Amino acid sequence: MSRVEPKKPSLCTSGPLKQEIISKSLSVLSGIVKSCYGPSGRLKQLHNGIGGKVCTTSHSSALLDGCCVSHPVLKVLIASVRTHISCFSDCGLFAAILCCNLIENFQKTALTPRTVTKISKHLLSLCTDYLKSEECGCRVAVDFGSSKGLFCLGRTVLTSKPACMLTVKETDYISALLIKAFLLTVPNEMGINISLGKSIIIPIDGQRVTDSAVFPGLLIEMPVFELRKIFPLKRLSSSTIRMALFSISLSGELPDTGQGMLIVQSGVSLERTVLDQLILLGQQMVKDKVNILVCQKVVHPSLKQYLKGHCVMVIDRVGAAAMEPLRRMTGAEPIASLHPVSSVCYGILKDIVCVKYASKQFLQLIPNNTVVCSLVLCNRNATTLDELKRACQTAEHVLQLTLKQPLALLGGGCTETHLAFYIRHKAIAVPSSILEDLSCSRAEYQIVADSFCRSLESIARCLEHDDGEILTDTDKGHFWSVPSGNALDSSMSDFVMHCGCGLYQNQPHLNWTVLGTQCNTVDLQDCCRNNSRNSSDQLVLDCFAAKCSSLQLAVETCHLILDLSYIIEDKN
Amino acid sequence: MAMTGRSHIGLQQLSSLTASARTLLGPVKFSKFIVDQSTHETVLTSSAFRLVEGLNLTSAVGQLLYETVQTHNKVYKTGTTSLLFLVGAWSSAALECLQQGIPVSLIASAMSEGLNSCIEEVQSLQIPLPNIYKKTVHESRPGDSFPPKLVPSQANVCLINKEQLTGRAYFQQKNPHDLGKINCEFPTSTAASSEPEHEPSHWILAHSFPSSRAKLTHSRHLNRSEKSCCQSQKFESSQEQAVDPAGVLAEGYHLGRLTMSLSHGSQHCMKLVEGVVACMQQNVDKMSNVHFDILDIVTCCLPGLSSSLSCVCSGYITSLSVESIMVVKHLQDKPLRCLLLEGDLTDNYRHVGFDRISNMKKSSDRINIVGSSLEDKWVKSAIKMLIELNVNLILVKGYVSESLVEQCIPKNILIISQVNHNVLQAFCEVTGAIPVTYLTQVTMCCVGTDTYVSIWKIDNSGTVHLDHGLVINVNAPRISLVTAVLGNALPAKMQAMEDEFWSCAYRLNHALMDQKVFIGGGGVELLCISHLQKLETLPLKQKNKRCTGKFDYTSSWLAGCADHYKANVLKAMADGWFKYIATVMCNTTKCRSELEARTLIQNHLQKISKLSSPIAYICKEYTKDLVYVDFPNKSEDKFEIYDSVTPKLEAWRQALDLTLLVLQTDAEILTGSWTSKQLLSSRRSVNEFVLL
Repeated sequence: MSRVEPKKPSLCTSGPLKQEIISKSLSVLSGIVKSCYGPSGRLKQLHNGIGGKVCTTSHSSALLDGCCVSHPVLKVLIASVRTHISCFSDCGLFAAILCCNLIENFQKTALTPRTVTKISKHLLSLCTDYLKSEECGCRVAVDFGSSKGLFCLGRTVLTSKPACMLTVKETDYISALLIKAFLLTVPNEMGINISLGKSIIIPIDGQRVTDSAVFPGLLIEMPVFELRKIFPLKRLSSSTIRMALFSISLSGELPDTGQGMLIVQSGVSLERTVLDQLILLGQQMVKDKVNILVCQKVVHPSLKQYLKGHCVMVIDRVGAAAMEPLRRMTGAEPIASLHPVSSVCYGILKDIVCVKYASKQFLQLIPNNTVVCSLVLCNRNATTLDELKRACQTAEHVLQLTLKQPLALLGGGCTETHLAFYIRHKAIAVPSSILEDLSCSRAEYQIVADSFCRSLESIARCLEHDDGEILTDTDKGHFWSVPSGNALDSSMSDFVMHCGCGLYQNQPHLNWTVLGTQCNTVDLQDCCRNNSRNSSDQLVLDCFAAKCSSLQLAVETCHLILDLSYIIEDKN
Repeated sequence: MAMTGRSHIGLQQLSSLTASARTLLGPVKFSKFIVDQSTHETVLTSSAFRLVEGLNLTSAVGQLLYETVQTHNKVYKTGTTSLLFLVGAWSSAALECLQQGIPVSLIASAMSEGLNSCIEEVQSLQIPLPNIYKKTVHESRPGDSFPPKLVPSQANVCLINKEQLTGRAYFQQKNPHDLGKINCEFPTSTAASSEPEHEPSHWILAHSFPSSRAKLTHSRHLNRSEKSCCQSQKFESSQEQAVDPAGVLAEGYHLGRLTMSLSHGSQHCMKLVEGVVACMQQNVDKMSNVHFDILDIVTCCLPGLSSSLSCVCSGYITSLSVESIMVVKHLQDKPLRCLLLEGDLTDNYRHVGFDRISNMKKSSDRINIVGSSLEDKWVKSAIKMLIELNVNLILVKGYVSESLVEQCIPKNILIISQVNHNVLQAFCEVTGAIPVTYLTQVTMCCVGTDTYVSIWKIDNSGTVHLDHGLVINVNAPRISLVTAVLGNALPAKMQAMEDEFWSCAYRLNHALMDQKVFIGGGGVELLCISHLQKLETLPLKQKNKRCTGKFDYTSSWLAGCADHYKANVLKAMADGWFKYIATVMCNTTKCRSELEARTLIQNHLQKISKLSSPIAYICKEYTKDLVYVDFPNKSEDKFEIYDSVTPKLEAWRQALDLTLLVLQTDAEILTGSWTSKQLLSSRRSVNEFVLL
């Protein structure tokens, strides 16, 4: 019996941002993301509250995936940050914090959203133009001739995730592995249609971090008894193994019949019939001199037995994730039907060996090219391993983005403080032609620019979680961290040796101000001269593409949210 | 989503959850009852991981603790009590530091740095196994075994299992600055059958963890081109040799001292482990080396049997229902043909991954008058096939259809169900049987031969009659499988005894894998305390040295302040180990009160602080003081106390990781959509949470 309920009318709320609940929820959300930021960020325990797995993390993707918010404004914010994370992996927290900061700071100004949007759009273009220009003071070129820049990029991602629980030595070790894995995925040949390969992460818990390793090709975990069963292997030639790759299940099950009922005459065994088909397929494999059959799903034991009898190695249940790498590295086309298989679908492997690693046994499929590699990641417990896995995925993505655009931004808060420093300078001397274009007064421009800069500086502040104070130098606009109460004290030189990114060393002639205070006009050309650079030390570097996009996304999302004047909710 | 902010309730939870592990520490354990209040079911437990398993830990921190203990137990099977105790001790230490106003990040980095430094320091208390054997042979001059640095090569002895010779691992170790060259340097491998000397030098034999130091080898190629910088590695790899660790036994060394020293109060179980080793030695050819393979051991628990009757036998011992007794008697002492089945042996079992379709109907144009069901048909055809192949014995991994078992009895076919995978594997190796999934797959070549079944008898006390069936031994010549038959008059203690046995077996296994042991009885912890005390007073920072701790805050003010707080953090941390030793001493009744224990430890520490070499003191004086703890009744038979190396160090690391993870956590987020009503019903205080 069905019941018809009258439809409820939609609920329309005006001025959503003025509601108290929103500002409260926003500040809680911004509190969460801010407290997670940076290498000394605090962790969050995510769990479903009814005994599910506990995830301890400060990684934006895990954090926001776990966040299930009810209010549309928060939903918009989280959705746009998640989109950014899915495209760039890195700088998710940065986007979320900046967006929250901007909303908060812009709301404090009494200006109309329209004016704020216009001016901040202009400020954003100032930032992006500056970041893209040659004289940008917070940008460094990544030299692919040495591993140093790549190493710093990887290292920065790893150190910014304290839940990985890595020691300095372990961080270096994993960073080096990441570069190895990354370089393995760069194709050797030149050409037009070249794309980057992929490294597949194989997590193993309960082992030491330094047991992690990189293997070329694909590792497939396999218990010892399985391994013994699948050998021996026949080869086409000493370095050629013909492989057939199946994406359909060869388990002998009947295809899904959908809704209808299947009526079978007794005495007819459908299973037997399907198995006969499978054996026919097996016969074709043998005839076509296939040496190894790899199946995404399950292979029927009888088919396995038949193929083994003819020296065809069978690997089943490799999973959907392994299919694309297998296709890339062997050139095989995944076969999705039992019908006679075209021989063009077969791929080529170079070698197959057994590998015993970290208490587990693997089968290593080695291709002729090196676009696929396997990164075995170890960590002492499942929680830290999960975080390490996320961090490594991010780092791999960062390295790939950097290959496309070999630039990096200074990390450790220096880019934010420097950008704010730059914008403040620009804002003071904004030409009236621009004000005319924007149709706003100089005062309005100054107010918005100040809010914009404070939002940027506030991100840098978020790196501090232990009541320290942040200073900025009046020379370069970099980030300097000091204990609280010690600000501008002459003794601070005892505390800091270099700025947040590690580019500049503490020098006697430097002048500091507390971050966020207005500073006097300094010749901008001055700040771009590269004196007292600390080139020997490791730098903290962030991904250029990810951070630029993140900056843009945060400002645009903020505009979108500020522009909201009604929320219409379907209450049915 | 709901969120709660918390001011280190997490650490408090950790220290209270672990408090119950106190009396489980050390060789003398006090068992505990875990009682389910609703069902009044009671479990007796005497190991930390069973305790944690038994507690119903629902909080997030509780679950993390459970996860950590389980992981450690899964890999090492020993050391979980130390892990649990240290989690508690260090959580209290971290809490104490927080109360002193030390920044969270600094506590984390100082503790992590302290532990790393200690782990380096205690390497000096490792004794390579050959030294122990040597000591046994020339009944010891004191101090003989303690300059481990004199025998560097022995530390590099590595394990290579025979089965692993087929597998080759690839590993390149390069300095970060070489990384640029990597992608053009990948080796071309040759066929598995090719001559070893033609193999690319990059391939090395990978071997069991955790002897990972010897695992990494440089390629010859690298060594040639960078001779000067790789000299040391070259030396190391030239020392590498394939030595089966337990093979040393075959050369006449005596294992007894090692096993007894590792028994940690479970002498009885350790004797059984010794039996296992002896049994494995008997099974293999006298010429070849003994292989102590933990995977070849199975246990058979017989509650009700007196524990003094526990013993070790070659082959697979298991209990069967009484109905099969006639079959066993008939088959006894005859060479049998056997089958190995990897799944269930039932009509409707299908292999994993086979999805049945639900919407299928059978239609028939005849009425089924005979009444024979599908299962009956299946059983009939199965028996027909078994008789045709002349199979008498079937080992099945899963369940077996009851009617099949019944109908096999008159045909003198014995079916054993629920057989462990390792057992199937062992029989597969020696009988030539090939494991199959379905009976329809069976051909002549899948059938194994030369298997024997007998009713198991204890030496000189005859057949064992237990109320739940009879015990049989399935055996085959040259089988590597060894069964430890564990009996206990108290069924409640059965589980604890089995755990104890495995813990002993694994302790020996780890010692053999590592090829070294620690000086036990708290000596290692004592050195850690003394080392931390030294670190506390160490002069302020060496400017150019990067800290070895968890983070390098070179750009943060914390780096500058680290030394200011370090002493307090390290003191709190050392106190954790202090509590550890004191608790062990109290539990073993070496000391009557904690105060007495603390005084004793303090005395030792004072003496150590005056000496230039604390290691020598611990080796000679401290161990002398502790020797009798493990063996209170056998003062004439003195054994040192040893500890396994990797499990201990990893337990420390795991414990600190968990503590620091919780320390750095400041909020709990409930995923999924929650309403305040749901929050209330889940017994959480609504005020703690913010709904978003």
